[in-house]
Amino acid sequence: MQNAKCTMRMGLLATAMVVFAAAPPAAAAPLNVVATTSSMGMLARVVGGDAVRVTVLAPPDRDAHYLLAKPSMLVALRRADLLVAVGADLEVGWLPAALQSANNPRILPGQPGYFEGAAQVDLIEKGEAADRARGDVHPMGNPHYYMDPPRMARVASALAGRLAAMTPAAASGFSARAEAFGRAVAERLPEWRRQVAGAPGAIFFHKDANYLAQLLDVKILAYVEPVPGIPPSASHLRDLVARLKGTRGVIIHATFQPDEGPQFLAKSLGWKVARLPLEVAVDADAAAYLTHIDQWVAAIASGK
Amino acid sequence: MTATSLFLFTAIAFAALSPGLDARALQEQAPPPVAPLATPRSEPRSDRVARLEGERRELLAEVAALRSQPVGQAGTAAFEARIAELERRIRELESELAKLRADALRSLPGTQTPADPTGLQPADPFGQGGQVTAGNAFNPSISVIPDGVYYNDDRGGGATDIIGGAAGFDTHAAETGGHGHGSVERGFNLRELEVSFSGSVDPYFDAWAVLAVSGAEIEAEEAFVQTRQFIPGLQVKFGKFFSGIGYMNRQHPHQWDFVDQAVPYELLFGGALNEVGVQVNWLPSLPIYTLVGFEALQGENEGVAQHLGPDTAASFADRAGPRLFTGFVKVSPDVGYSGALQFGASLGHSRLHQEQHDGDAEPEALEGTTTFFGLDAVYRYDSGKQWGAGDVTLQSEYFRRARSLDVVGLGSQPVAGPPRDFAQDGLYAQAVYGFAPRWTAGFRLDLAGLVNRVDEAGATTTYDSSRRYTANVTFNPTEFSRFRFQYARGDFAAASGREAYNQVWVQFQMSLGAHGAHKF
Repeated sequence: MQNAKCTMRMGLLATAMVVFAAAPPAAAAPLNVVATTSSMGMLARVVGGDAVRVTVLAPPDRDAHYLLAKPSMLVALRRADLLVAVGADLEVGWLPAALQSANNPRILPGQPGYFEGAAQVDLIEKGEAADRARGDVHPMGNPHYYMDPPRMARVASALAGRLAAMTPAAASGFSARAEAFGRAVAERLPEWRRQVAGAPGAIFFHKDANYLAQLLDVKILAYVEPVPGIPPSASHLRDLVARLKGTRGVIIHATFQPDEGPQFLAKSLGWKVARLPLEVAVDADAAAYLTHIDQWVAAIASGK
Repeated sequence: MTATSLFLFTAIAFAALSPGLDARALQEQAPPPVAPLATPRSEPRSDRVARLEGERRELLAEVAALRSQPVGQAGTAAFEARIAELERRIRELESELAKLRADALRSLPGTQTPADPTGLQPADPFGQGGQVTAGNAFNPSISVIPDGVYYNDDRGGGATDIIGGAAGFDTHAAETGGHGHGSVERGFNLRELEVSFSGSVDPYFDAWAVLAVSGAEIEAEEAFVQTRQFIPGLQVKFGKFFSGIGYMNRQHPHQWDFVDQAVPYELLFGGALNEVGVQVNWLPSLPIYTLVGFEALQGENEGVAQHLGPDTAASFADRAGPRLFTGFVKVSPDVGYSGALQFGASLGHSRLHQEQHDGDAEPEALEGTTTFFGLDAVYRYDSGKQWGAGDVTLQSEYFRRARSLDVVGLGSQPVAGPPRDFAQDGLYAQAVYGFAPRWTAGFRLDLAGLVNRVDEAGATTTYDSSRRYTANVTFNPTEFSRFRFQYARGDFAAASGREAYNQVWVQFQMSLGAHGAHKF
């Protein structure tokens, strides 16, 4: 009915455009979900099951702060029904530019097709001064909540709600899988706490595992970076050695972070150093995510 | 005719801006309403969903329990009726839930701040629709980028004029005796202060305004709006902007990998193609990135569409815009997470191009049309190491320009001179390598005038080609500040033989404020 009115008003060409744009998707076609990072991709796959097809933009071995808005990302974003982002300005260096060029109005912030995990949970380290003299700060809070399984479970259940609203027919599957993910996290939590109990704490390279440390009540002894986003200077490392000499702990850094600083600290302090992925593999499932957290827990526990 | 079809297109496009195509599709998916369930209407939607979900689960369990009864009891009429009644109720609940979810989707809140201190309370069953961002309320994002250089050369400060005077190209700099784009004094210079504003205008448009302040002059380098919610795949940009031709054309000086612009752009476009007009680009939903764009531009740009008009010389025509039309295609095959590859081709035609040349005694007025085409290729390798170590960028562009001009005036006298056909081209190729975290080294070769000739009345005059070699080292303390040391050697064909020079630059750039991300 509405299309008929349009035809009269706008003429032949417009009709062609409207019909083309409004053509409903095939009923059984899975939802095209684009996740910015592989952790968010894992979540989308875990919750969405067969009802979604997930594409991950940022490879797991890269720092998601610094990526290039590549044309291949635009291909995925152009076809996306739903974008699942980490948010809290983690992707601010590339996602806004990619969204501007992707010509896909469905997934712009504020639209049903835009889902940001950071908007579903409370963030820590909120309200820091927006002052770049303090490095790569995130005044809206630490965006690395994907290293916090209970927060990820909360994001999963919010994502289930969003997916249910987009494909109501599959709603019960989404909520059931999100609940199962939450249960799996809850079951594993006591074991993680037990393992790190009595651990003296850790030096991280960047503020990227702070949620995990807070969750498990692990003390963060220092950061290899003098301020976020700035490479370690010799004087900063010497200061750390002077401060921590004679104490115990472990140094943990992500695979993409350079290992000169951590190795220097390890040698000077006599501590172990662990180099771990910050993100799960591109095709990871829930079990792989929990194993990924297991690795970090084991590394923290190795400082004992 | 073009103007008519453009108008028609714009009118149709605006008529089609009516919101809610997707919302309508969603509404159609929701099942028809059923008799309202007996529940208080004041109940919050999330509680209601949770309650209905619970009820649905209980009923499903009851049906399952009944079905697992011994065979003897199953099959009786009363038993079947009970199951049918339960299933009817389940269907009712499901359609009610679907309706609630569709409602929730339509009324997603905007920016929100979660209040829960632990982050562990039960989630909003619909997923919050907001975005957590440091973007500052309704103010546009503002950034200020000063571009300061120390400059010196071995030609008494005249090296930039040597570039502008390349034989056969007839640039503005050559005609006026210097001080075209990019001219600098020996010593310290604040070449430019770029002040940019950006933000969304309303649900339909995003806008940018970029002012370039240099000396006492303020130039609106770019000022345009771009559609947000258009027909999927289609984007329209209008205002003053850098054209989408080539690869580097739309980059601002702070995005360049070298202190100065590549020679082909300098000689063929007077720096860059920057015009007032309309751009329409179309990104079809294909497995390989393919962008097609068309532009209708006013036609004032040096080198390809200069419009001097009767005020400059009485014999020059005055013609209404748009006078310049361009088209471009960009294709980017996916080469995996570690790389990005893009090929581009551009074409442009100007309906009117006017130039003034130094004649034997009086200046000659030339007028006619210009056609140009370009090819570009970019490959970027991302090593995955931090702070750009190991990253590589390879980039090359080729442009060729043909001008078909007639001599229409000599001094203030109209004449009907012979037609002159000019053909010139230019090429640059550059490589940038991240040799250490935060440090890059760049090498660039510029060639101009590989084709460089003028045909006039059956006689062909050819000019020599010009070249420039550039090397630089850049240190980026963060992505917001930069020091660059650059050396260049130029070897140019001039009217009076060859001219060579050596140049050194030290550049400091920094970005103050909420500087947005760059497009590829």
